[in-house]
Amino acid sequence: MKIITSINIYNFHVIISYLGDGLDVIKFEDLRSKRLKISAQYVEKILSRSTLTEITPLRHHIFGIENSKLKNLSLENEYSIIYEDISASQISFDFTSPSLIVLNEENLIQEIRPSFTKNLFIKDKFSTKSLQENAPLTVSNMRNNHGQILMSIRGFGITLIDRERKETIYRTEDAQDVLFMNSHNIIVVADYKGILFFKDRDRKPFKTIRLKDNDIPQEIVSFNQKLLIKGKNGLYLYDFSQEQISCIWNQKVGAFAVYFDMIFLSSQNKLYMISYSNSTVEHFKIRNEKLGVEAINYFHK
Amino acid sequence: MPDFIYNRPANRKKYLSINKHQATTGGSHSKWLSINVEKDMFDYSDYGNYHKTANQNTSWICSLGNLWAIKEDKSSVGTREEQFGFFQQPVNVNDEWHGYPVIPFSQVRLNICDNLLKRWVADGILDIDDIAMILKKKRI
Repeated sequence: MKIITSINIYNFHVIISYLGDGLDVIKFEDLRSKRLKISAQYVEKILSRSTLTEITPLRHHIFGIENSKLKNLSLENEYSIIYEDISASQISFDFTSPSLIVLNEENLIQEIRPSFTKNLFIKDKFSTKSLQENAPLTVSNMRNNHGQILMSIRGFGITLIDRERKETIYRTEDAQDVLFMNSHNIIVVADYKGILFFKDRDRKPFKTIRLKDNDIPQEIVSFNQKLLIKGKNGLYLYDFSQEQISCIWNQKVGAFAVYFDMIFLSSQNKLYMISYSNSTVEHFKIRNEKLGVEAINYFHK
Repeated sequence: MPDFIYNRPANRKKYLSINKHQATTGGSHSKWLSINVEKDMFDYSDYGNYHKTANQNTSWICSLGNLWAIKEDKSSVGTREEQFGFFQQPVNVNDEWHGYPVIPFSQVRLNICDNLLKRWVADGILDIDDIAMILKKKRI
């Protein structure tokens, strides 16, 4: 039984990872890819005995974590795999430096200069007060926002580390994910208790919203100026201007990813691409038809 | 409360509840919500079912010989919202087992093996869509 563990979209390719069964890399087409004339030739299958997690595509490579070690694979050459002796539990990319930010198993933050041809070099490593003083804690996600590091921490809350390494802590019940919405200058937290909105540096949320039937928020991403929320039992869209939340997928979701106006998701191990745009749905075509990605218009704008 | 032996049937694995993982103790180690939760979780993992009945079910054991458990209603078992119990295989076969609540996949020694995850999906303990979230250290 192949179980889908993550979906990533990169350069008009769907990258699907499976539990203990490597990755599929499948090209798709739509109106944009035809206009841009995407010519990348990637391998279609990357074999791996262990599950690759925290997949981060970058310059035709994939960085990921396998057995708590950083791994660097080329999408263009299936034999180019670099095993890094770098402990890892979370990865994010800082485009401003540019650096790979990798949290290790001891919850130390490692700043790494990315390389695609040789082993990586840790240029800096530092601890955070929140993770060390309250150990043992588990980081559920780590993101980078213009050189600031945001971490959601289970059973604790959120830590924001600025460029001067000053920490600001936002206490919540059980933080699952965190996002800085630059368009609104707010921090959004997916917490066991709901979606919490914080103004930057203000430690109390100014707004809390709950999902339908108290569904548990697990992941959040920015999607076409709205907030896309993955709950345990569905997908939801929050419109900031209308202050309204709508359910756009009413079943369980395993993994998901967004790309332009498309949402790719797995539900009961079946793959879907959903979009509000009829044009996107009509012109979507996946190269590997055995994969069976169903394209659906979810009728919400 | 000091360490204490959990009295189990003679033909089952022996269990020792360690003081530092009990809810009433101070310190920074992960802690069970209660002694009864701790006992239940070990029983589930050892029997491999929620009825605590010895039948053809094997234990919920991973390829490294460690035992794992999750409550049937997926509620928290630890004071930091941990949902899983982890019981590391003792060094000596006759030693008592002991364990603590965890969020899996935060460290390599806390990775649940693929075979156990697949078994839990096949047996209906977990939904197939839960696997992606467990790997990402989310609440399911």
